[in-house]
Amino acid sequence: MAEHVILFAGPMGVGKTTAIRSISEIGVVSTEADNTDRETADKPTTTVALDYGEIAVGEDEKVRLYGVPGQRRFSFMWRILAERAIGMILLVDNSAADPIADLLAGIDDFRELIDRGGAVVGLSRLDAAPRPTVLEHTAAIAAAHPGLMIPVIPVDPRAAGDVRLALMTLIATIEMRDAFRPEEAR
Amino acid sequence: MSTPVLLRIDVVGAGTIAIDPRRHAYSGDLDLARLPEHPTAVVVETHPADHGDAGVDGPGRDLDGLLWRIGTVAFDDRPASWRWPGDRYRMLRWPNLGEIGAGPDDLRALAMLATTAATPEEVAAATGADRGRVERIVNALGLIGIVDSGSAAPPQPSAPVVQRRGLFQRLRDRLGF
Amino acid sequence: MIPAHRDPVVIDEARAALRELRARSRSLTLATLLTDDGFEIASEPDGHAADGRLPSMASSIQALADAVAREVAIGSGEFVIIASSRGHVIQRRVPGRPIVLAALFADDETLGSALAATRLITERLAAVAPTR
Repeated sequence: MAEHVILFAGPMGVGKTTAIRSISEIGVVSTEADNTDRETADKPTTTVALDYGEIAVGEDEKVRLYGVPGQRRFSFMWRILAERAIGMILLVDNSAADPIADLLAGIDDFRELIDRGGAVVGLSRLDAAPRPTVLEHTAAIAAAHPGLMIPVIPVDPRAAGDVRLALMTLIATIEMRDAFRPEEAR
Repeated sequence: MSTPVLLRIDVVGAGTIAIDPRRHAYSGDLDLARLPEHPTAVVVETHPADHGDAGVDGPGRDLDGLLWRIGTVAFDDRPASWRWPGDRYRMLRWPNLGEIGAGPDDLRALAMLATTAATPEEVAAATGADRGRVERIVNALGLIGIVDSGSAAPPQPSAPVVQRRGLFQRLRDRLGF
Repeated sequence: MIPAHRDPVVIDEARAALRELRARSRSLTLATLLTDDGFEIASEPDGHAADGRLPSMASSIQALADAVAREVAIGSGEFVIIASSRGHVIQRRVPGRPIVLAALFADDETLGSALAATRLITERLAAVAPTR
């Protein structure tokens, strides 16, 4: 069985579970608990271990979609799941207090995976909050991490088309990086 | 220091676009999908941006989308007039994929140009994309201003790249993408 | 409504319960009562879980165990055991409350007595306050 593990990461409440649900071919396995941290995100439940969905690419091949918990106190889960992953989709809520900070924190938290595999940033709620723009997010990445090229894409986690575009962009990126990885990095 | 300039483009019979390069944004009543590939007439006006000049209506749309559309149609399948034969191209940043309507072949070409410098011919050979489409993509990236060109060494794939049956293709088939 | 980990009444109950667990199990190494979503309510010895990792990890393990039980349709989980060469961790839910007990016992405590002690404590806690 060939498996390709993709992580969905981002702050609490950004829509990781929703995004996986929108493209998973199976009912998503979720690990929700009552949310007692309503100040961080006003939602009744929160993911405390992982979400799991999948896409069967072939008879013996699956793309496994893992959503990690958003809160930092579950960062051990980030490490456990990132070890198995080939890439990630980092979701950022553009209506949050500081989306650029969320973006850069996400990149820092998963830098090892980003360097080894690949990443795409999915920017949500741009309709409600058009600033910072996609270009401003891209510029922030370039300023903080010169040479690091990560596509920034508007994504509505509820829209399967948006999430599929992010996934396909990620896979394209990973394949090309694998194909043209410099000799010393292999 | 140069003075910022605002543009207004009238595509006769199609509509009007206002462009504010300061914000990398445009607005207008022209539907990009109906932008004629060979308009009968285009009127371009420029004027210096005054401090506080709004430029475009509201937040506007990302200029990547407009420039991508123009760049992919203005020169058909041929290299744009500013390009040199034999140059290899390397993307400096991704265009806004939410605005350019990129298809699967476009994604693979862009991913390759994000990873290594290559000629359109090399990109087409490696990705299986149509050579003419890749020329259009490179033209568009050039118009947006996000591609570096020069005489870099040829790309050195570590493994066979024409992945017609790679994960991207298999997933594309599965998702009907 | 005050979250359990900030409710002084719940915290006092929790501390009392953990002291009783300590009294019943001499090989108890450490224990924590946590909210379902991984916040520490109380720990024994006090403060050992100060970095927050044990309650968070216990929350994840509990949720994964519950997910497995749902997936294979074996009813609601009763307890989770992590057995290692130098001790074992037992986790139980407090019936009817969004609270989990995670307790580490040294390997000279039999599993049976550890399970019995943790069950007693969680049932006592369940009886103390109304269900949610």
